[in-house]
Amino acid sequence: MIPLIIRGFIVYIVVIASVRLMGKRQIGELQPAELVVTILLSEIAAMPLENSETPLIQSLVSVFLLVSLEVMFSVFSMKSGKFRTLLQGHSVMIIKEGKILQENMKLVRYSVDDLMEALRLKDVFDIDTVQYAYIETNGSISILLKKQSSPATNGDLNIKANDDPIPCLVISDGKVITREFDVCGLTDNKLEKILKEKKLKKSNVLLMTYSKDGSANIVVRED
Amino acid sequence: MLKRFIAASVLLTICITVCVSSYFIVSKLSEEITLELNTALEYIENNEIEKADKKVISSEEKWEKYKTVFDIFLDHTMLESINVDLPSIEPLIESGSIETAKEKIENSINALKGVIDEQRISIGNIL
Repeated sequence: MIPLIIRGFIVYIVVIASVRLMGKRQIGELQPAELVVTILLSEIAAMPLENSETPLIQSLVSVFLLVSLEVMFSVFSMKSGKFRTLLQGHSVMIIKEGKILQENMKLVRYSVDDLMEALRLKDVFDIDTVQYAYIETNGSISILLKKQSSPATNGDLNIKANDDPIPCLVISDGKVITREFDVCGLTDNKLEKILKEKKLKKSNVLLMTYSKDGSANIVVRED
Repeated sequence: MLKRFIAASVLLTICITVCVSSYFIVSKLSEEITLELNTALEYIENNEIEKADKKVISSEEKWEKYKTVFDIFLDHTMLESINVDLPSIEPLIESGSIETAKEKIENSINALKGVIDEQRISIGNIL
């Protein structure tokens, strides 16, 4: 049993490292090639845990091979449009100027039920309100509503609005997080000054956010 | 992106190196042991039992020495028969069961040939 625990530990580390190497895109939205790699990865990683007769190195080599090919192919697809199309396909328009493109629906094997379901998932219940719709390469649908059905924006109403600065997480559970200091224009001295003004120590702060406009939101630890 | 690409290239190189080196290492060691067992078989055929016994002991020692290498690269079920047959040959020769010993040597040679064949880059292995 001890070798199994060690194998499990190694496989866990390797799979985590592999998913990290593939990048954040992998977790959020799966392209066809990425989906294949993810499915294969889970199968291959489980092999040495299920069967102690299988050498661990066989699985590790397979996992590393898939991950490195996936990363290299994604770099190539970034460089070459043709390669990207070959690997991921391309988005297909299925509603143009309010009209369903039935040929394209057949091309992507999308039934009317599929279309209606995808629209409902986008909170669109009346197909008549859709101006354009695309099936994206990861299978999701993107829609543009007709102008009369779109919610009014500040621009439509001629209202001038300033963009709010994004609040950055500065202290989390008593620990200072410096990685976003540049984004919100904060320095160590400024932070010390704010905490001094509030008579707080860093270790007493549960959460602190800071915005470029100088506003700080501090939640003090209760214990 | 470039860092990921470099990391992926390094990983791919490591994978290819491990696979190619495992092919050469396993084939070389298997051939070495097979050669010794073949010689032992020849000695048995020529009724030179003492020499055959020495060769069998030598091949068994080699197997024990390199067993870990085989275990790292090959499916352990492939090695089961060698693990069972090879250590049993020498006691069989000692006890005079030459025919059974011959059979065990042949089994071990075939199993080692299977190991070499498994490593070969052939259409059959790929498909």
